[in-house]
Amino acid sequence: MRGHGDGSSRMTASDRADVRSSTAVSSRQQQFEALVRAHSGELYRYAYWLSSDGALAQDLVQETFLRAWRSLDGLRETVAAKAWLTTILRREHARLYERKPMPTTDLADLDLTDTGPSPERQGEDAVMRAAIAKLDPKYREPLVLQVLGGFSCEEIARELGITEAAVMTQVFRARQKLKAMLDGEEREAEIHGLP
Amino acid sequence: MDCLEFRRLLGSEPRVTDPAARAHLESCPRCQDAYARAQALEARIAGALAIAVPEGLADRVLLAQLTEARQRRAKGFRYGWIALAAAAALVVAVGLVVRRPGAIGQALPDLVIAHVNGEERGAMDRRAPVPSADVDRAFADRGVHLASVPEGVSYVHKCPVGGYPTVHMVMPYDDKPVAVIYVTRYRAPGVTNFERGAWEGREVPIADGTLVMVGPSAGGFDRIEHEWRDALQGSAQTAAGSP
Repeated sequence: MRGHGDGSSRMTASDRADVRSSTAVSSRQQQFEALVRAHSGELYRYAYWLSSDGALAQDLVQETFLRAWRSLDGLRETVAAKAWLTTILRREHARLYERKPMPTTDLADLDLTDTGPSPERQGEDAVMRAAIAKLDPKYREPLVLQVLGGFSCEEIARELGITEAAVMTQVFRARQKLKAMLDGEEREAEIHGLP
Repeated sequence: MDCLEFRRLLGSEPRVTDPAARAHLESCPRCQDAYARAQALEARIAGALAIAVPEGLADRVLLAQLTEARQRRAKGFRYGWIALAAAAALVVAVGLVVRRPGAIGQALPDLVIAHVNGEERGAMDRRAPVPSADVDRAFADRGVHLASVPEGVSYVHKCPVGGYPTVHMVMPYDDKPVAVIYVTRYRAPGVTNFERGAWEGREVPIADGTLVMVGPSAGGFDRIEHEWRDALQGSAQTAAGSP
């Protein structure tokens, strides 16, 4: 239901109608829409953890899909779409990184809001997110690809251009570091009498 | 596989799909405990990584893509036109003139019809007039100054129609709804009447944009067109017959 406000940042019913009418135009468009619906959320999360910036992550996702649209004919198998889109997004992020310095991760700036789980769970997630944000990118990225993207170490190795053994070492160390940080947080909480 | 190998693998690939590792897991209670702890940690990591996705992200991506696709088509047309112009120059040399209508203009009626069909349910049925200030503000936000605001606008909203910024209104005429959409930044080459299914329509270039009217009949089009000519270019120019 649309209102009479500006609504420029959200898609309105009429915009969706435009999308619907245009998707009827070609199967290529339908294929693209299916890709966007299936992968935009996952790509956004990946982009977020890559850039530590919500707005930048949205831009990255949009630019990734625009590039994907331009070369959609190069996508032979739908099952390979996730890896293909991930590669485009990484390249896009690298281009951005070349153009301007990326923001450093400041835990105070991280958006830790989550509307789903209970307050306790939200607190746990916030602690874990802060810990993940502290990880060196070389540990964080393969971990995100593995946990969020569901990629195997072999697939991650291909994506990152390193050996499978190196990926296994990095994700192993990532988990070790997270555990160490979380243990530290919990000890800190115990010292201060926090639950 | 021994416990040390299993623990290394568990830290790298907690899902543990390797058959040898699965076999070890089934036979080793200590590694089963480690496996349970690893799964708990994985669930915690996965939950933390799954940050909220901004609402409407997919829709925004699709809208950006549609806009780009449309711009590319228009650009393609421009390049095509240049080639055509070059060819036309040769044709002119032997006394012929080649003319091609605008590709954007051909698409506009279809875009508008699709938009009207997808607009908010009930928008076309509204009869109570909205305040003139709302109409004036919608145009101002689109960068268009109105000399006056026609009466009888029962719905107004700033809509993107395809890639075009527009002001979408409804103006009932003789108790039948007429969708009136002013497309900014695109001026149609001339007045065109069209029909699409149960809809009749007319597009009219006015000022720097195009007014498109769509309704079940063309009954009110002349009056509405005249009122919006006055509003968009001033009554003096309308009287003087400005195109």
